[in-house]
Amino acid sequence: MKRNIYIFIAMILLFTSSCEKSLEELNLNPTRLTSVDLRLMLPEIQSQAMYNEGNGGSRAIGIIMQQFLGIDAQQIDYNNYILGEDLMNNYWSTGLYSGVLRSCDVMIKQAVEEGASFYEGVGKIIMANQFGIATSYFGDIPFSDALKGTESLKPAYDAQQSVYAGVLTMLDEGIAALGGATGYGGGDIIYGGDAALWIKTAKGLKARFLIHQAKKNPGNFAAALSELSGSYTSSEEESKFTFGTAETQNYSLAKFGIERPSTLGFHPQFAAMLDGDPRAALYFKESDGTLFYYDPTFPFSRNDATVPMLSYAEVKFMEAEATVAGGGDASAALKAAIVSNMNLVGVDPAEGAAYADGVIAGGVDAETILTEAYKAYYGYNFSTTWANYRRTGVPNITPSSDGVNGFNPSGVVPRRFLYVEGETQTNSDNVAAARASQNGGLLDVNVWAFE
Amino acid sequence: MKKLSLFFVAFLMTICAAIGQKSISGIVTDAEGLALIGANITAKGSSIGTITDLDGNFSLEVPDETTSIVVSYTGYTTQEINIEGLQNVSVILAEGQFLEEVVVTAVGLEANRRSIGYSVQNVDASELLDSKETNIVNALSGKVAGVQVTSSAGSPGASSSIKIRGSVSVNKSNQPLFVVDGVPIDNSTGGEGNGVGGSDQSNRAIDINPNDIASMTVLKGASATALYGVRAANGAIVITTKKGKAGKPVVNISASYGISQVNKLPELQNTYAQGAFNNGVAVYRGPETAEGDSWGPLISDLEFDGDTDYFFDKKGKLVPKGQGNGTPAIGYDPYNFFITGQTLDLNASVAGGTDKVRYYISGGKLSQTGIVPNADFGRTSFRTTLNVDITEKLEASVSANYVNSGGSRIQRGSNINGVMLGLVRNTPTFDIGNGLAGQAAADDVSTYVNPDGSQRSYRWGVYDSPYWAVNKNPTNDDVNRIIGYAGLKYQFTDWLFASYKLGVDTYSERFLSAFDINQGGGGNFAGLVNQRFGGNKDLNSDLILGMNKQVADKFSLGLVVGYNVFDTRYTQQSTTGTTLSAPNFYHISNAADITTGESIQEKRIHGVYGTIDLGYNDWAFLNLTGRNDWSSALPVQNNTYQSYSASLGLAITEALNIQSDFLDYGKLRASYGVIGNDAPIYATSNTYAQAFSGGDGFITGITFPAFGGNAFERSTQLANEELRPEKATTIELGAEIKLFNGRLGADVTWYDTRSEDIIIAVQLPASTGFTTAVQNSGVITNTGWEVVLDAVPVRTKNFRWDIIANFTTYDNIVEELAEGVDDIGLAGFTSTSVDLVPGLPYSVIYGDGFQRADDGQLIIGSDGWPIAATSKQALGDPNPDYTVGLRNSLTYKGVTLSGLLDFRKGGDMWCGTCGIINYFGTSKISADERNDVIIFDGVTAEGTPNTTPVAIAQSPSASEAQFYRRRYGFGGISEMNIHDTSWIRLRELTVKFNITKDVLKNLPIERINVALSGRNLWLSTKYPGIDPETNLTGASNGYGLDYFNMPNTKGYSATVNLTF
Repeated sequence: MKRNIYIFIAMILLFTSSCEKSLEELNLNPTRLTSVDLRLMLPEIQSQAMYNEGNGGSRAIGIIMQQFLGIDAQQIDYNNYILGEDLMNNYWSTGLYSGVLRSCDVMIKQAVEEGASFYEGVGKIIMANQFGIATSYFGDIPFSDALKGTESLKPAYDAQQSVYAGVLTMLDEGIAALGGATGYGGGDIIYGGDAALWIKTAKGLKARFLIHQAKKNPGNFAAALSELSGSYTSSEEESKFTFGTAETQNYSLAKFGIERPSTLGFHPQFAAMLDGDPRAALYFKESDGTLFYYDPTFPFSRNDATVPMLSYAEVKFMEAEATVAGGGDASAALKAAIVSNMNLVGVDPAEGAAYADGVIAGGVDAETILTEAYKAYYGYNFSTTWANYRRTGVPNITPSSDGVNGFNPSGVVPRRFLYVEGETQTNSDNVAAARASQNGGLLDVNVWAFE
Repeated sequence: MKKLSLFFVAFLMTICAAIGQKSISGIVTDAEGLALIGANITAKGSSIGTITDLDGNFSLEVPDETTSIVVSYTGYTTQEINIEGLQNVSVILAEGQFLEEVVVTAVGLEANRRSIGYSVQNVDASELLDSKETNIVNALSGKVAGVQVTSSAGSPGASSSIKIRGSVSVNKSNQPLFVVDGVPIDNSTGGEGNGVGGSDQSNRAIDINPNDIASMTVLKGASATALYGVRAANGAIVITTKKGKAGKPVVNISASYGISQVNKLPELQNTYAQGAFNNGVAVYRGPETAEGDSWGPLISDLEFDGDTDYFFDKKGKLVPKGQGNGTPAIGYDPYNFFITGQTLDLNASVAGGTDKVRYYISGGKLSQTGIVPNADFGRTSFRTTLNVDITEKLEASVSANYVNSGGSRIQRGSNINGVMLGLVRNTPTFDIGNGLAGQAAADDVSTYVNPDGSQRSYRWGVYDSPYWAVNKNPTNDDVNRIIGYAGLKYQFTDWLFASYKLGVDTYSERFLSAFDINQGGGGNFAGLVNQRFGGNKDLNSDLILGMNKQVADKFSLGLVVGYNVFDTRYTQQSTTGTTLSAPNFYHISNAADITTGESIQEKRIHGVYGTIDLGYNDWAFLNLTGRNDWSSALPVQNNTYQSYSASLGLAITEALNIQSDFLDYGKLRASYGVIGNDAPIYATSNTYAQAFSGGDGFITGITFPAFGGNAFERSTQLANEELRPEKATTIELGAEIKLFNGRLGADVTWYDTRSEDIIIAVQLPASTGFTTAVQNSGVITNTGWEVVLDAVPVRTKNFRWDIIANFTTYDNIVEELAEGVDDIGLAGFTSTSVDLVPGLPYSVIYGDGFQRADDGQLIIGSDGWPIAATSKQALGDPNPDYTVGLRNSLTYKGVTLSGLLDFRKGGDMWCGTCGIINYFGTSKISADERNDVIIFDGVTAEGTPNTTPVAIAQSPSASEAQFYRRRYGFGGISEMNIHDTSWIRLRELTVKFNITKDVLKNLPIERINVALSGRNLWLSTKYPGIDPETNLTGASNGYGLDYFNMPNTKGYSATVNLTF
């Protein structure tokens, strides 16, 4: 009998003492790291930044700017400017702030701690570009108060003017950090660790955001020209990112064509503009009267599309526009811009050059330059197309006849995106203040730079 | 395995060796001389027993030394009868001792119902079985006050969720703990759970074979469950399985066959063809355009051209009347896709024992096919339970339950590969079956694949044809599970015992989900195979020391202390292969690119607990419990927390010595309980996960490793090292009365629960760099009433009419969320979701609404149309105002007719399906209103009544974008699709025939039961979609979304049960 009791007790002790890990250890997720090398952070930053080039916001801009035409589901809503608070929510949340900006912030801080200035510089350049694009979409956005976690759980919104100023400062800091770049240890998919090319990229991006503000400050064209002189000297130098053939590594526009087939078309207006243009056959196809943007062989809907963060073409388009603004001859710059874009898209070089010569022969003014930029920035750089339009009115597109709604009471071609619902639900006071200081912040209200 | 079999054979042999018996028979009646059917007779001091037959007769073989038998019957005073020298006895039981019912309370302890100071409700095993539900959770529908069951869909094996008294948690499950024979078991929803897309998964309680259940007790409030601590914070479903009794082997064999059919579908139009409406003209646009709208011309204005090469229709392409061969166009019925599902359930068991060893062995096999071709579910289970008296004082119990379950699932929800999406969006002029219907169409490849290899569907592969979906998107699962325990109980004296039980619940699961290559026409997809292997291990150890003693003349004392360890670990490996090489081959080797990952979830809780039961004079009962838990999910400095309760039960009829002709019994209950709760796991430290680039709701993202290397990123959840345990406090008051000799009874409960310091993954502004932060931040309250009424309006010798009704209502309010947080999303889409909003009920449907004036009237624009609001708002409340389950049973001799009506008043649902089919023009309403001109009821911006008429849809001047169903965007705005789900349904209707030994005479059969059952035969509701008992996100905390959910079913079945 006693023996039974002993066995009984022994059995209990055996089980209760066989727990190897402490309670505290058990709560550490064994599938996660607690710290990460810089070289393992940078690839995701670059892939997220480039994924954003073809994401939902870009597709909506493509529709607003009448490069794309919605032919099904939500894309039809965009045709008619039904662009609500949910449109940019995913982008704002995990594409931008808790996406690429979060990762840049983590990397920059760790790089500063470790004295690895290469990662600090590259992080600041990518971060500045993403902030600059975001402010062109929304106007006032969280900037100086952003990304601080518990230190600021309700980030305040900075006026667009100061965001642009901060973006330019951040690019300068990036250039400075890369001047004596140290500590590169891998992970740079775009340039393989070449600090000099990153500096050229940063200078080109400075020009991009100077020109964003050129309507407010025409002197910015001259400043941009000066920056551009330190930027790319050839197509080979542009910051290109090549996506992968595997389904998990495709460019966002390719993914959209595969996963949401036949919902996004190509706009007949844009097709008409491209009549006789060698890029037309690489931009769209026709089936049963409908134009489609997607084909697995097209340059920006192929799985492994090559997409520039900043293209040599843009550097030259900016140079051309700034030159014309200063009264100079922009023919060479415009030709270089067009030829470079033809090259990127995959048009035969001779054909591209002939096309460019034809354009230049018709006279080079700002409208010509911006119209050619409109044709060139397709499949990538949608943000610049929209910024250029809102800044200059080129090309002259006709608003949708069904474009009056609660989000866009005056029915114009939208001038901004609405703040996203994730912010309105969790940071409502700051959103309300930002709306109030921007005349309500509906789609038909200009952001500061494009007023 | 072989050794194990030998072991069982040895046991079975010992069973047959019982000797030295005598026979006792008799009759049991009530004071009026009416036979009591099913009264319990046991030989005193043993577990040998039987029940009385239809005439109240019984016969029992008892050991020679037996001197008395114990006769008991619910609602009657138990009697002990001396049988020395007797062979035949006549027993008259007196009524009046009500609530002698035994209920299982926490940690496997039993109590007499009359001694309990809180609300519990028992459910008869037969009530569960009669419902003919595969899933034990569904079998509870409408039967227990305070319990709400929601099935996600009518697909075989689909999950169902159960909530007891509303919801208290935000990020953790609100479902109760399932406990089988004292061992908590896992009831998670398989694999990755139900998202807004994907397929329906099972909740793991589906593995329980209802045939093995002897009884079920539902523990509702904190006082009932405080002993379980954190894990039963949402109540507990306590199941006791069948055990053997000493005596000859009782063999039971049952076979059940049933059919099921779809019970409700959205109404579709059959008037207008596929096509678009532009500039005042409706133009036919056929499948070859890959366009999705059904805003085309009248079908009666079209005819076929007879082109035999046209593979979308055997009769040719559609052309305007007069341009073809004169064969009129046809409006097809896509709903002939649905078939009749079948269920076959076979069960066998043998139970018996000697005075030393009792055994129960069972096997069950259930095979079910769905109402959708190629959908099925199966469950095979074996159970053995042995109780062995090793010595007079030491008893061992061992139980093992092996289950294999799984089936072929159907893609559903927000999913261009889903069956319902492809079915109800299908245009009337496209015959999805290509001349065939149902299973025959599904079995013919030409139904869904064109001669050129592209997909045959009304949009040429943009959305999958339902027939393509059930053939080319295989999704299946296979679960192998063992639930078992080993226990020892040592009885030191007749009032003191110690026991130990180690329970294990372990399973492995395999999932395969594949999408075939869909290229050509509108399809661009290169195929995908995903396989996942999961493994779960739950260990539960309970060491208990207990006593039960009459300490003084009128005082009884019960005391239990225990130590519990719970340890759980779930791991899952997932491998996804993309870009398939060969069609129709769903194996990972067929993929060009492969990514893989693993998740591990671990948690351990230690608990020490104790309970004291004090009884005075058998009419006052005080129960005190306390438990202290230590959980690995909380920061180490805050990882201990307490649960405790006090409850008081007073039998007032005894206390005040009331002798009344009509009041048989009255009791008052009061209790107070506090339950602590821990945090979601891994919430105490910031970590870096393998990187993913996304931020686009329409498409998938980039998964690392990619571009030749790997990458990591910091998690977007802000960790919290300062988390504290949650605390829920419940006050509960109740009363029970029995009137008129047990003819009428009522049990009324009121409760008030306040949950504080709720741990919530609060949404942060993403501009902080984090999307969520885990915080102690919320307060959620719940106040409710539960009423159970029972009545026996007629009781004669041969006829009996029983009524039982239960009523549930509660107000479950989110009082506070985190400071400055106006909203927390639980489930859904960016456009329409189910959210928590402070000051509103636990979960509201949240989305786009119309602009309204201060008095609530719609604001109408100068063009005559209502204007969409620019910000989202709360639009509906998915919680019902109240629910009622009403059962009527009529018994005449051996025949019982029983029906369960289920009423639900109120509760909103977002019919996303309706919005989309209205948008595409396939719904009936979109055709009925197509030529209507109306004036919206509302006011202009100036406040004057609107007088501007608008054309709802087509008019000579309109474009499609101006139609009412299209002008507010894809699927309309959320507010247009919120509908009330109030229903009345005949949930169950059963006729049972009981044929006993006196009829069967010389046949070697003790008893035959035959049951004919109907399930969900009648449903009345104004909800326009499928049966509104549905939920897109399955067993999640978010309710009220219907977006291409799979429809529900009604069924008929026949069951034969033989007892030898």
